[in-house]
Amino acid sequence: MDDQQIAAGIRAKDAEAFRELVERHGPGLYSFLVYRLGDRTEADDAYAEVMMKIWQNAERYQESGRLKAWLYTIAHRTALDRLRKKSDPALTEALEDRAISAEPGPEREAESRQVSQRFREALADLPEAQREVFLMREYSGLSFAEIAAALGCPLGTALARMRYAVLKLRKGLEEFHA
Amino acid sequence: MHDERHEERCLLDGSGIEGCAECRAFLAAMEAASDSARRAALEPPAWLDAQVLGGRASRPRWSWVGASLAAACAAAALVVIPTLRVPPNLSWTNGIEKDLARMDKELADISKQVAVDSEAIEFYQDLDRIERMAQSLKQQKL
Repeated sequence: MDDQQIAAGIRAKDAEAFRELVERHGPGLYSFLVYRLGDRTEADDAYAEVMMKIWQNAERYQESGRLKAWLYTIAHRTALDRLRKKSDPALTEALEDRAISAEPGPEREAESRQVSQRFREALADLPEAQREVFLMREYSGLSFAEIAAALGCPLGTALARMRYAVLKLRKGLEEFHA
Repeated sequence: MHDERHEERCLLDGSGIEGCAECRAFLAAMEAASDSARRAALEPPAWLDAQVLGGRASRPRWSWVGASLAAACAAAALVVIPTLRVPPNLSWTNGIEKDLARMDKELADISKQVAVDSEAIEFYQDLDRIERMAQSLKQQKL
């Protein structure tokens, strides 16, 4: 079942198509939301909310666009709404390691944990706008044009944010990768 | 000369300017960041996906169950409630209620009979009319 078939399925309220969507795009959306919101509990709620919106608003999806772009536009707006409602500077400025690493997967090995830890710290140091573009690029695999459209900014802005994000992450990660 | 446009090109098509060391460094940084992001990727907890899927997939089923239960309760209420009604205490009426009930029944029987009789009368009237018409037609023919 490809993305267009999934989209057609959820428009017809087909539970199997929705299951396929959750399996295929759930992990990316979840990672995006956790690192975007910086709080695992908040991300859990946001994830459920995003999935609910996808299911309820499936008929609004335009077949001309990529399903993934639509999904991440919803995730981006949901995260933004939650950050605004919270209006908690700590939530937007820092990724709380305690919250994010609360549930490491059983398959996580020590090295992976170390990389993840380092990555989270470097990510936390990024300005919100740069972090957002980076996360969307990495976890959605969308093109920069699609990311710019989802975020409502010019392509050049999305590229510049990504460029700065990569340069700052390089600095943050070089110690580990050296 | 390396500049930010080269790095944007690295981002867009994954290849920098050939022979440019800084482009290669930027591409390596991109790869390292992507690699870290992949390693730090998270899966939604099983309970959360179950909740999400249960909320979608089961909702119609539960609504049917709810609707069925509501219908069953309504039907049971229609059957049970009349039987639970306490008959009014008519001891003060000195038995007149029985006479009234008998008269009601007789009136109902009479009404039914009148209806049947009136139908029969109309039938015979129609039959007479038809016979008269048939005779007049015969006479005209003769």
